[in-house]
Amino acid sequence: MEFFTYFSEVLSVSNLTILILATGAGLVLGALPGLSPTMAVALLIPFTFQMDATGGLILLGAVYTATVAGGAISGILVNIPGAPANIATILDGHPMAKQGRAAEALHYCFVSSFVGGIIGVVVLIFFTPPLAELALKFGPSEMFWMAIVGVTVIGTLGSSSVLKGLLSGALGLWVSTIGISPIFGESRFVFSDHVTGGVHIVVALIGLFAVPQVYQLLVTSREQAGGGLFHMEHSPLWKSITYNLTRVKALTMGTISGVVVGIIPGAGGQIAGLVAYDQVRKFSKEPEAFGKGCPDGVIAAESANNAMVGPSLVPLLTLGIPGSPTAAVLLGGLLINGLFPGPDLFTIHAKVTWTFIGSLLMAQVFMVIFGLALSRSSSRWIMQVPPHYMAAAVTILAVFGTYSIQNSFSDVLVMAVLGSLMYVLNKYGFSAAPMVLGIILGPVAEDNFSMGNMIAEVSVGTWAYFFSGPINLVLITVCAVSIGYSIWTEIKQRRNVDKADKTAKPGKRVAALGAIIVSGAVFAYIWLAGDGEAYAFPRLIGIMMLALASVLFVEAVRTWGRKKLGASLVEWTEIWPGLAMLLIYLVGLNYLGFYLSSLLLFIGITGVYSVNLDQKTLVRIGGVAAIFVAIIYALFNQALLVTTPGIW
Amino acid sequence: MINKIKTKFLTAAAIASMAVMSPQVALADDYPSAPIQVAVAYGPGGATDFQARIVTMMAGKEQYLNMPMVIFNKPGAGGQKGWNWYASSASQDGHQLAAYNVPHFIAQSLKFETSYNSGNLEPIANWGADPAVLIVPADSPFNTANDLVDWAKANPGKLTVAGAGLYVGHHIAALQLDKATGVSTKYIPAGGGVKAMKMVLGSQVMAGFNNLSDAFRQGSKIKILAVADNQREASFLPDVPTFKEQGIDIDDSSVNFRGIMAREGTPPEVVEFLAERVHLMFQDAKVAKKMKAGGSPMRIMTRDEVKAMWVERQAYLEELLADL
Repeated sequence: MEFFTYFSEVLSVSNLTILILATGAGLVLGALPGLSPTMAVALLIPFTFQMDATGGLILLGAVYTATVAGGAISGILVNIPGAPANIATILDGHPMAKQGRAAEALHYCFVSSFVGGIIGVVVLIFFTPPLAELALKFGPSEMFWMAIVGVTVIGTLGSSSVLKGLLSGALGLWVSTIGISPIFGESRFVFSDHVTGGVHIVVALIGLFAVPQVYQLLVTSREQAGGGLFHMEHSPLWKSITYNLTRVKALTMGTISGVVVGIIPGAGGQIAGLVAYDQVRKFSKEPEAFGKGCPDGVIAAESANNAMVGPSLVPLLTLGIPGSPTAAVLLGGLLINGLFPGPDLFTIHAKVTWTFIGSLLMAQVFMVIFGLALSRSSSRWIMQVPPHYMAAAVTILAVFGTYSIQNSFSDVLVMAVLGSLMYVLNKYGFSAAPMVLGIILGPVAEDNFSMGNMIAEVSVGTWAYFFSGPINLVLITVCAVSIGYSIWTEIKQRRNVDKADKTAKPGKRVAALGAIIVSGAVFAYIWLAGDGEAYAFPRLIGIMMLALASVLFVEAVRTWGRKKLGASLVEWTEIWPGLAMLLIYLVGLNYLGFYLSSLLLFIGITGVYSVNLDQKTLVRIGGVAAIFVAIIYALFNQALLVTTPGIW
Repeated sequence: MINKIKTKFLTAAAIASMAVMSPQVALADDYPSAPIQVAVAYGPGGATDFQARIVTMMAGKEQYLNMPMVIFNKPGAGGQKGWNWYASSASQDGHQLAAYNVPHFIAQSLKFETSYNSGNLEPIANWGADPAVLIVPADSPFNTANDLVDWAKANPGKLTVAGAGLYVGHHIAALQLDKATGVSTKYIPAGGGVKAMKMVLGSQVMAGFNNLSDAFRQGSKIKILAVADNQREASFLPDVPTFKEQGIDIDDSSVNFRGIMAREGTPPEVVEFLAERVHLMFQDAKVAKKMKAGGSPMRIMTRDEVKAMWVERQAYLEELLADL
């Protein structure tokens, strides 16, 4: 087996040094909201120019592996996923952290990443040729159904009810159609100049998760009046590892989902974790434990998104077709070194290729060692940060992370507005995960449907095209089962609730009224914006939204008037100083420059939300603010060469 | 709450107008004073992105720009998203440049409402030219371009051809094929060259137009039937005939020219400085070595040569697209 012949190459001093440095850097970069694995790998390509082919590829591969795992750190500790791949991780990871089990959650995260990652690379080593064949069988119809499988997952993600989950998802699908349609070239739903380019998925991710968290932190800081984010229980490492390894079902299902999604070109790791999470929950004996800090959720999600890394390289190495956006950047890294994907890679360039694959395996080892070593100290460290300091830091990171994606100030505004609205929606039982999933899956579903339809029109016809072929039929069955199961659990749950509590939940009427008004408005807007083939998919979404909102409304009417309208669920008194400062900050970014306004924002938020503002506190605030902004400057201006507007 | 949102939108509008008005002073003496950003209108990992990263890697050297060039991606809608942003919002002091793809941006400016056209952008220098090639899956019954045309004539409207997007080079080549032979192909814009290639490899479409460099790398997994250029590609594909050799009148209008441009309004002395230095930078031996290793054909052209090429393409595309 050639793999073993070349494995000793991986263990050379220079290659090991690169591996260790790259894994460490990847974990840190991955943990920063806004720096997605794709960006991290793209940013490192210039460094590989100075290295030999093997060293360069080891660097890129190790960073890819580590950023995917690192994105879970900020997800679990602060509820902000570092990358789209980590959304599923936070659904149970953050509740665990809140219960004082942060270190434990991180242990599960890294152990599962390791298990998934190793199996993923083993799949890459032994099954590359047959999997490459399978990857090619995914044409437009198969990709369309794959996206629909993803959509059926939407309803069960983190919202208080399946209906609200689906409605959030539908809204996300519509948001994804804003901007120029890739297939028809038509500009759609551009209601403001800031969205002419559409809503970038990472911008939405940061906005929808980070901004509501900022408001939540401010509320926490007022309520707790000082003190850390959450307490922490002692969780011995060996205990976590043994427990983790006994969760065979969650690990297996997570890994299999990751492997399968990884080899499908274009679906990418973004949905691997979510699909795995959904499967594990559906097959669990106690599905109601999920979302409240169930270790199986973290285990499934993290084993899936690292299991995806190896297989996503299968179509890349054999066909030159990347299985994920990050793998696409890795392709550039291969080509620059004169390594063309295909059989040559495993014959003429066997040494480089097998050393690279071997290094991916070693990267998993370093990832788990560093990760586990950091788990306890990083959670303890984050735990001690007072919430108002954390709020200020997250706001600044969100702004810089968003801006640096496309050097766009419009993106920063979109991020802030989307996130602020999401905070309100959160209060009424809607959640960010299904909306982000909608934004991710929208283009996959729409583009493949349109392309498939174009092919079908001149060949076998739409029905025959989309409803024949073994892969299509399997995917359709999965969709049907998934939907059926969701309806069944919803009915079962409903019955239990009806028995227990007949009164309306607070905010139910407001949520239902708001949903019907917003859905009606979006529906009307979609209908009036235009017709033609570019509007077929958005119209379908419009109908879906209106139908879902109507059901929600009818339900609310059934319990109408039994309880008085309570106080607003949004804590305006606690958040308005923060909101005001955020607005001033957004204006200041352009006038004063990013760094000076960030310094002022940090001082402003921590100052206003401090309980007693004596001289000692002021000095501390000033010091922390200066150090934090200096780190941001070093990272974005010096290391990433991001140019920001304004003076300082 | 509604008031809050309203305030937010008003603030957003205020900020936008400020961003436009804020003075951008450029002094040619100390140009460049910061790293130069280069916007790429396609995603990371695509041919344009990866070539742009190679040809700009030497920018930091003193004899070139003395400042690094930083690539950032603004992908979407076949390049429209990135170029719309560039022509309307990028800075005009020479610190934000963009990569161009001809005929893509010219054709799009003719067919869609774009903020860019060949008149409001300043070419700096050209680094590469990648002809479109006609490809079919390895097990396809077609062995020549004429086999394919004959089938298309016998089965009107049924020939599916994948390409990277709308009104990019591949689409222009497909339109030229229709025009030259009288067939009507069903063009499928796949949202990226790699995706279009995959549809051919997986036999989801019958044929495709794709970049010569990408097709070359696929080796025996596909058949390359013809090159849409005036002469054969001697170094990579010496055995593949041009369309003209096969009696089909398709010239080099779909050849994908890649280079760097500045926004209209950039100080002339900055444009001249860039035109001279960037042209030199493209000729660096290290750049040539990496490009060759990556299988990317280079064609280095000066600012004046690119200007002439843009004018010529504009005239041809106006004529070709007029009938559609």
